[in-house]
Amino acid sequence: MIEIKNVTKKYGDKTVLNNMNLTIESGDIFAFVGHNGAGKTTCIKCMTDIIEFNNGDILYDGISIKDEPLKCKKDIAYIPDNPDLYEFLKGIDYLNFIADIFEIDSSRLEKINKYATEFDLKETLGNPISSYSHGMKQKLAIIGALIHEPKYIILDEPFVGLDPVATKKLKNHMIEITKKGTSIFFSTHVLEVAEKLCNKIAIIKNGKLIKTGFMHDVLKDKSLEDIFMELEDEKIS
Amino acid sequence: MKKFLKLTKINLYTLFDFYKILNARGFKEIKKILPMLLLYIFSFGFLAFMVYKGIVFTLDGLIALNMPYIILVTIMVTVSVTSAITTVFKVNKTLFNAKDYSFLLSLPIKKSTIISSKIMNLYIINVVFSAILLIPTYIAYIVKVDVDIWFHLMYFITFVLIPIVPTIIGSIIGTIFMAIVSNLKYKTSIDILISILFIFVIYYLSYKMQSMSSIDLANISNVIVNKFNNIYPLTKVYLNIIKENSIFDLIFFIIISVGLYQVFKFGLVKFFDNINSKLSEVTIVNKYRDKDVKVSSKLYSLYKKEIKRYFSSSLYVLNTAIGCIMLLLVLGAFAIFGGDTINKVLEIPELSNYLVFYGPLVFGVFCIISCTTNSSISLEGKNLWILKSLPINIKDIFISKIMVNLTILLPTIFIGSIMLAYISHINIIQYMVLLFTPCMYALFISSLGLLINLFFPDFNWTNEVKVIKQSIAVIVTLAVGMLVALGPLFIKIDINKTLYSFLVGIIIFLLTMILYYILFNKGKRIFKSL
Repeated sequence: MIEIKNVTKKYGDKTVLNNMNLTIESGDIFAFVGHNGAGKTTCIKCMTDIIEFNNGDILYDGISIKDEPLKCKKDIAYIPDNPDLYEFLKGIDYLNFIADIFEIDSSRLEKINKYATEFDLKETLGNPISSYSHGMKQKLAIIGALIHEPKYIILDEPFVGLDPVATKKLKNHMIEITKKGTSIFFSTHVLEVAEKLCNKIAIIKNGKLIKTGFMHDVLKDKSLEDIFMELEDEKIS
Repeated sequence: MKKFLKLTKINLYTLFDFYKILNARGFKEIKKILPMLLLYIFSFGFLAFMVYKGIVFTLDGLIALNMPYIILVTIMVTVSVTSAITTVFKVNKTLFNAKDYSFLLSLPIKKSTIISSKIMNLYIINVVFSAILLIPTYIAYIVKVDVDIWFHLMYFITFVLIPIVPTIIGSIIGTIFMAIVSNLKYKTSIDILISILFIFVIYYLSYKMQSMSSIDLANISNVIVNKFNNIYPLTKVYLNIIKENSIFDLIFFIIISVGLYQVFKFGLVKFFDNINSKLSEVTIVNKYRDKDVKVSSKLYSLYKKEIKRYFSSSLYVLNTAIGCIMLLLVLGAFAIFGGDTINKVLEIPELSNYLVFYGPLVFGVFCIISCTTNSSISLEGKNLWILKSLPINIKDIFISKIMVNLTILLPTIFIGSIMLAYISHINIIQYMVLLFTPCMYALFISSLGLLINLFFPDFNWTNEVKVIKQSIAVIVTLAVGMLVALGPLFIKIDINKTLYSFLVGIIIFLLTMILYYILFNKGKRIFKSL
């Protein structure tokens, strides 16, 4: 379980996350939506210890990421919105690096082959990452995230740049691994995907959570797009 | 012209931190950049001061020989040769392989304008770094020698002119290298090899020139000027401008500079696209095999990643390993071809004592200029998220970066000290000191560079030239490192030279321990907050 407790993040005088509270249970596929600049990426970066936050805490199974970052990060996989990977490495070198950091033994071979075949990247793993397209880098980052079987997967716009086949496969994987107890938290602008794939949703606006809960409770008889537009209209008025 | 100026302005912004300083508006902005400004002033000031002291020392001797102007010629040739050589290494990533290449070509800007702005970048970098030598020389000269108003005028006109020809010559050689490299498979490795070969050639030519003729003492100034003119054919023209105020030679200098630039630009327009597109081609030949999957420890994996990063950039390798290569070249040539010279050297009284004292300092200086860690944090750039989001102990990240620097420095020190011991016949204790103190310098500079880069990181670079060559972290590391490396020269203690050198090593070791303490405490906190 991930617990975001009273988290506030400021950049200078500007409050980007304002006293945020959120709980992601085991097995959840949690969508995180909001307009550009609402604070989604900042929140995700706080959750993955990429940036520090000013107040509050983030707990993974009761362990604070502030106090024990290594312990928490061992169970986390993160994929950013723009997969800037080490271009000087080959694809396989990157996966080896990730596997070394997560101390995966020789069983890594089977996992790498399985996911690389599935995401149609096996043939190009021996090539430098600098030769990869955006989508291929995204696939490599996804394989890197899956090979260590994390308890928590945090993704920032994971479907951007992926071809339809890879998108479908990623969705299937998300459903499959959450059945085993993994929690997935991801930001997206593709509201249809969020609506169909996720059991829970949080909507953020100007650094504040304005709606959160089970997808069907939030939607009631409306579409996510309608809900989102209503909230945007409120902003204008 | 408008587009050229705009492009140059943007390029300057991406290349220099102090452009931000010049453009700071309002109290808040100025307050933010003030520490950076002070550090720049301190670092450049310190380096310039050291140059000034050296120039004054040399000038005193030259004034006694009634030929003070030789210092002007010496510095001019030094600046020109250094600018040309360093430009060769900067052509990759500035003229070619630049990240903004595709973007700029998509805009309605003439190719010749893009090329001009890129050459202008190289020229401005050379002007800035030439100033560290040319300005202290100017001050020392007007303090020590009576000059007329023409001297001031001519000096500042030539100050602007001097770097033009070396910039173009360096660009031409660099372009030829890039044209060769662009047709080959292992582009980075070949680029590094060609550049090292180039250093060999330069070294060999300068060695040949030194042993060309015997010195005629009665006509020594002409001999020196002629030797410099052999190295750099504009030397006599420069001397006529600065000594005789020759307008004719000044016009000739300007024509040569502008003409060479125009010819190069005209020629490059024809090949620019071809070379750039070939350089961007990635050879895809390696098929992934199961045996490529290998298990390593976390630290070793980090080290492998750092080493691959290091060797992926020819600019990074050449900028940091050139000192080590030069040192080994000089010592190697001396050990193999020294012959009579070695015998003469061995006759110097107290040789071993001097060697044990100065040897480590020379190694120390080479360690300082071979620091890889002072840009290693900045070079993470947009990849920083990987290290920060993974379960890696920050200490391991630091150690892996230090290990890369030691991989370059320690073998150089081991091989170099053996060569020096072979040349000078020192005893085992003196050899141990000759090995120990430079090793301490290596540990010191690798941790100092890392710490300074943590204090002054730059992740928003678009051209790695900025963080590898002219970032504030690099300049501050150089200034502080030089202060520590050359400090023992200025402290006179009347004890045995071997013991003194050993004590220097101990002090550097203690300083390194303090740096490690700061690095693994405050440094870790800084890394977390990046």
